[in-house]
Amino acid sequence: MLTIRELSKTYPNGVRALRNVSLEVAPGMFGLLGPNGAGKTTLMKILATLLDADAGAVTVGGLDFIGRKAEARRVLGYLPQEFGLYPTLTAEQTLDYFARLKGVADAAERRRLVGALLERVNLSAERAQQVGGFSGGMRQRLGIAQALIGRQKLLVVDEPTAGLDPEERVRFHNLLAEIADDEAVVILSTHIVSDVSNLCSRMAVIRRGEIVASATPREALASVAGSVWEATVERARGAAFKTSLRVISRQAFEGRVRVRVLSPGARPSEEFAPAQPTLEDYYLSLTAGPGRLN
Amino acid sequence: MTAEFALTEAARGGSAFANFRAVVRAELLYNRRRVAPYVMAALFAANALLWWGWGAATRYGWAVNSDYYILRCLIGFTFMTTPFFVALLMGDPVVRDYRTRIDPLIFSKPLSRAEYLLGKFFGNYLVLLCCQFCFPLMLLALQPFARDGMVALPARFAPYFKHFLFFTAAPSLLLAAVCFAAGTLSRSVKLVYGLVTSLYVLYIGLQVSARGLPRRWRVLPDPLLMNAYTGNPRAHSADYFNSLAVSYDADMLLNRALVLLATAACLAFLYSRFSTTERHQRADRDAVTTLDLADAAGWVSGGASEKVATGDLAGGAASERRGLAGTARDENARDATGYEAAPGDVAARGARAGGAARVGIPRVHLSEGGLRAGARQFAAALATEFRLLRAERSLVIVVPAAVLLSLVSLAEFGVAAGAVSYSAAYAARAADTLLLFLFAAAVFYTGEAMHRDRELRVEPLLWSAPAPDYSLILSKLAATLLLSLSLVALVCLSVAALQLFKGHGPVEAGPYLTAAFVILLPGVVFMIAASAALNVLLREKHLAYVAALAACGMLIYSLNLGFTNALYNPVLYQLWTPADLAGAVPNRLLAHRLYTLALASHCLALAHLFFGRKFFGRLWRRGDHHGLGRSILATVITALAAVATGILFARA
Repeated sequence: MLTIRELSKTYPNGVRALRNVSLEVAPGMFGLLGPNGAGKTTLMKILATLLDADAGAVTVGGLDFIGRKAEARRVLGYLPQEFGLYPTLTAEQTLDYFARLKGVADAAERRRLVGALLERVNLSAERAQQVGGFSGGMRQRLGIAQALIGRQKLLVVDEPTAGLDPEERVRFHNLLAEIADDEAVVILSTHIVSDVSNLCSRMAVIRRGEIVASATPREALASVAGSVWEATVERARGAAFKTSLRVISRQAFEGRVRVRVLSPGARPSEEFAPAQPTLEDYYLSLTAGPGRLN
Repeated sequence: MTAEFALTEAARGGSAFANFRAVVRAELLYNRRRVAPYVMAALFAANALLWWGWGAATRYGWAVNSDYYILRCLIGFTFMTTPFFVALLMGDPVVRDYRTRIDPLIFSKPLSRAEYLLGKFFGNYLVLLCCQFCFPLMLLALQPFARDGMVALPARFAPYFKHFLFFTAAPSLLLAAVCFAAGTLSRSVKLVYGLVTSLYVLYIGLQVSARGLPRRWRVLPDPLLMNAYTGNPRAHSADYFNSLAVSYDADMLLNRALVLLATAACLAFLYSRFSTTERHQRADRDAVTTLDLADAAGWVSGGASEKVATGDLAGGAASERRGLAGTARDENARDATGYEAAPGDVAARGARAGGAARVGIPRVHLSEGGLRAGARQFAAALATEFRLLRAERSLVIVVPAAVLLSLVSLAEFGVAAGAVSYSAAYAARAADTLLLFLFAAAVFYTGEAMHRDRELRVEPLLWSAPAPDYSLILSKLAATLLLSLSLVALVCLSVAALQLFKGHGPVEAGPYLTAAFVILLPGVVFMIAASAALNVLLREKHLAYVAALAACGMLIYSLNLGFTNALYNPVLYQLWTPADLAGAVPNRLLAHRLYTLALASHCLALAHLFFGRKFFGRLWRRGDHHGLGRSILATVITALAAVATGILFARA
């Protein structure tokens, strides 16, 4: 169990990235959704022992992740949002290096582990290839492979699918879903709703450094059921809705604009029809508009 | 309408010069906010101050503002400072655009190659000139002031400008063009530094080998015009030099014409080879798309869950809205409430569908920390660091340059009969020649190693691993030391071979080993450790280079002024003789080396204490003092050891 209590972080330039964040996360895949600049990466860095919080506590299975960093790093797997690899090392050398740093001392064991990881992320054929020639997807796969070395109690995955093409993303989802087991907490931070809807059994939404909602996706959908309405109108009219209705989203559609609004219980006007709520409606209603849905 | 017209005019090429101006201006603005030009300007001005007050003029009684002394200072200044500072400013401008990935934004604009290249070149050359001009400007400004015993002619202005243009600006122009072309075409700043180093070596070699040639053939091919006016200062009286009016003869003017022609040829070559389109190699690499690979390999088959949203605008538009591209929807999994199947289940089910291909990750034993585990992690990191260091392209130039430098210095080397053994004389000469080169290499490669992880963005991966700080830092330094050791071994072998070739046998191992392990390597260890501490404390590679360079410059300068106390000369520069290499190593040297190593360990302890991975302010508050406490203790102990060994040496 990952427990985050009253975590706060303010950067030297005065930006308050986290404000009293508290979460309880059971083993399995947990999604952390939020727009850019919401504080996701700050939280992920604190969980990954790379950034210190101003206040608050983080424990995983009773282990203090802030006070006992060295021990924490033994049970931590981390895939940062942005990371690089040594371009002149091969995929095999890279994983071997990280395995040795992680404390896998036995050479035969390490060879087996590296082979299995490469197989798992489908880089076996490129094992002797220098990482400098890898595509974005291949590097990302090698990144997740290094995060899987050891016995994780916490796996922190920060925006793993940003920059991947749709097909690679689907495959990455499958890999992450396989990783999630009953022992480890996997925190997936993203601003892509479908990443969470596809993978996570629980989720939280973070906005301006605060957790604004924490629910299962089912609960999240139930909270907006019957409240989402949709209309396709002329552009000028679509813009006018902004002042009178709680617009969740507007999207250009066949020269006009498709507007989705949140209106609990009552049809906003004649041109609106009830719409099937999605997780994105829930997310956007929390992050895009001025109000909240609690 | 006006805007449209202006755009059309620009598109027609009516504002070609405006584009050039815009690029120049952007470079000036960029450099205005860099630290490097200001540091350079300050260094050059400080250099002028030193040469004005404590240079050859005061020693020989020359007037500090005489034509001859101004020219002599400018030639010396250009020779000493030009290569690396020119490389610093001129090797990077285009590479920077690729590094910051602004290149597609620039090259997609109606900007010609010539406008871009010339704008970049002249923008940075202008900055370089301004920095260099601080040197004569300082000399000029110091004219009204005089120290005791200093001779000064009535104040003058023109010679400073005239000689600066002729003796500094012109050779800098050529070298700037070479560095700019090399950097732009190779897209590697390191290669530019390597090139400059080898040019330096080549130039010194040419100067040595051209000694017997007539003046014309020493002046014409020499871009620095070292042989045009500087001669033996004792050949004439001070009055002669003070009244000498320097003029440029036909050979010198022809030389400058050749310099300008060579610059133009260099830029023309660059223009012909430079392309604003993607390189073939890069395009090929990009062509290996993830989709191709994924399809070819069919990795982690996901069955039903592998379905990709087709962008059905009518039904699935929400998933595409605002860039939140919806993917991997399993429509079959929707239940009556529209819930998109148990999240996590979809992919997991898909994974199970393709479960036949799933490979289990074996359980492994992890070491529980402690010194033994730390040592293993250090060994792993060292192997990787050395592998990365070996892959440095600059070594292609640095290694041959080290050997060449040593061999050139020994080419016309004559040993005084009966002074020391041949081996001691050869080893001493080689060590003397190699000393500064080796230190420069140590400083450079330590800086590269210390900042590599950050530049390649590997830092978060490494720092989240349970490896102790010392294994991460020491591995970098040990790899640099290994490289230095290899260089020393290679040079010693080459010099020994030359000794045999010249018939000065037999080759004795003792002097060579003493030169390597007593004279050179402890100094290298100190330079690596000091450089590591500088890099950790300053957190900026180039700043650390400049600081190291300034420290070395000050050391050499203070030695020339007669401050020869070995306690503030940990690298033992000019404080040993060939006789020290013959026979048993003197205790004085051993005591000094002990002192050097103690200083090095103190620098290492400082680097460890301030290593960026620690958040010691926070750790202190939270009571996790163990790591920090040990670091502070190590720093104090090594400081005490340095003081103790210093006292021991002073008594020896």
